Amino acid sequence: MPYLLRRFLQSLTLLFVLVSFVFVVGRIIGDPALIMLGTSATETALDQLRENLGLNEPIWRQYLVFLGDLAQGDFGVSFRYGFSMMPSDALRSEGTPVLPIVLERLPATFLLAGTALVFAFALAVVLGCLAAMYPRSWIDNLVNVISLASVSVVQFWLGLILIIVFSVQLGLLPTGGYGSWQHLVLPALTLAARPLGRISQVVRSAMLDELSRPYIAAARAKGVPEWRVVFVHALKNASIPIVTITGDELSQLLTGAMLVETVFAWPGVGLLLIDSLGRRDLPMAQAGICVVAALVILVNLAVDFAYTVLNPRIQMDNRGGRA
Amino acid sequence: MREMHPSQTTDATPAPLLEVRDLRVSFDTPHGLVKAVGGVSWTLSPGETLGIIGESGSGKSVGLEAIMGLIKSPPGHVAGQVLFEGEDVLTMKESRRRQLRGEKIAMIFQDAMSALNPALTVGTQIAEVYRLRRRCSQTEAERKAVELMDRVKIPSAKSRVRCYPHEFSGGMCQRVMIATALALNPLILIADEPTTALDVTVQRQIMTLLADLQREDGMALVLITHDLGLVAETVDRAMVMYAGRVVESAPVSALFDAPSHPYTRGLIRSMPRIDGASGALHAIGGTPPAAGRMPRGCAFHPRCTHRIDRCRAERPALRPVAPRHTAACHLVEEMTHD
Repeated sequence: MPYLLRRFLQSLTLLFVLVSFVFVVGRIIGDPALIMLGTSATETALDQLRENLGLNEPIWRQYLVFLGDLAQGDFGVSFRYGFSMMPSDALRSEGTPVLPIVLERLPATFLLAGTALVFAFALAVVLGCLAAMYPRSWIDNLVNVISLASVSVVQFWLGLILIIVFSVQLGLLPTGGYGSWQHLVLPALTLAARPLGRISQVVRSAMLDELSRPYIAAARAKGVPEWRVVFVHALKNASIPIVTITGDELSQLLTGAMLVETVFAWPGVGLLLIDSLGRRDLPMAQAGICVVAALVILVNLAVDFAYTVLNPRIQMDNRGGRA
Repeated sequence: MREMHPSQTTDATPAPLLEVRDLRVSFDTPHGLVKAVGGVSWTLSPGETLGIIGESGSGKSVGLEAIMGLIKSPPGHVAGQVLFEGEDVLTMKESRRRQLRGEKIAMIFQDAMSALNPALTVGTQIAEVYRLRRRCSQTEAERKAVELMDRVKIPSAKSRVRCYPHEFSGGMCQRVMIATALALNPLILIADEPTTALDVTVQRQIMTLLADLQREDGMALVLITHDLGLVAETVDRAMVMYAGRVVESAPVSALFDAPSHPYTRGLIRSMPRIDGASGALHAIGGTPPAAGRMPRGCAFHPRCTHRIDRCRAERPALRPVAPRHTAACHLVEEMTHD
């Protein structure tokens, strides 16, 4: 079976397992009707609502209906947006579908994660290369401290500290919200910390490895300038572990955005997801998680593609797994 | 008569292209300072072929890396003088030295497969410095790469210029390395055991190629090797190194006909011969000293069958044996008349 087709089928299976898991967990964490109507609601009202939402059906039947709808690209309607006390049939046809709402939030998340990743990646490559060029020097030590600190720091804590310093005390940047580049700076910085640290560590060790290889001495011997030795000869060979960790970090960013979006009131998928879970808007949460999961899977596939471009020795058709 | 002593070059004609004076290389290690090369002097004339012979660890490669300015400091320390056309390579600016590399002095390595970058096409690597120095276009560089590949006799160069090193055999990789070295028409080509990693028939092809190229371009060749057969066939003058020092230096015919140092004699006697096919090969007893534990006196004395008390106490200097023939042994007079 061609490699790509195999990878695609693996991804589909993974998505199916994930969706089922989310469905089951969503029905364990608490009663949506109780959240929606409050603890003072009468048992009759609660029961009526459960009936309307289809939650009184046996779970296996709910699951089959859910899968059937999903196969047609229907994630269901929101328990919250445009919701009224209608019987379940009317609710299904007249309620607000969740998928468009989730997709509407995507660009904001992309903007945030993309900015954070570009910033983290560029800085990490420069820092990692510098550290590898001068091992055990003060530069190396400094890079080490920066990367350890930025990996270890807790994201929401860093976000709050940045808000206190730059928004509250210095008044330079808004505390949260969306609209201009000023709104983007603090959340993007917060989100960039972790990938910056992890990528720069990988860049450093991969580059140290490559810089000690014979072809580097050969390149120097033939008179290639040092910047080219490092950034063309060595970096191209070090790129596979770097791309792997970057792809990994991108998946983490999409999910890590949830916390950061909440701290900075950034209207992305993450904030929507946290909101939906809090309000037990199960269809919305399911759609959100599915979309994020699909994105993560897509990123991993893209990383696999990148390998073949970066390393001419890897061919698409004769590989078992990741190199 | 030309020079009597490799370091006395004032009376040498023609002017040497490269002159190495008392080159010393040492490294900081956890066990203290370790000397890899201890005061080596030699000269290279234009168009000449010099062979440097020695076992692994005798300091032959390290010495040449020092000449190319490739020893990282720290932990390396390089002292002495390396004069290229009168200019000291060791004290010049790195930018000037880099210009010298490739343009004037090129180097090829033992294991071509690992000395080529696996992620760049051979064409890119062959014409890389040409493109950088001559500031030409990508197409022009590729044309040059094909031309160079033709020169080193890589078949169907045009269709293979965009291949990667892993698509080539070991011998073909060595040809690619040679093409890379030739890109800027250097005056000196340093070949560090260019055939060690290849099988015998391919070795022969590579050496023929190097000899042809040298004849065409008139460049000087420094051949580092432990293969005496290779030396006998290709070089004009040979230098034998032991434990980081030169022990004997002579025109190649003199070296094989009248070896003066016990170590050289041992090396030559341990070569298999096609005529005197009698029994086991001769071997030099013992092992070369580790770089950190040099014996006092002559470094070879623990393995030498001729040693006298003086060898233990005093290191012999290089002394003239015959015109252009020097050896570092206290018993050199007795040895030559043996």
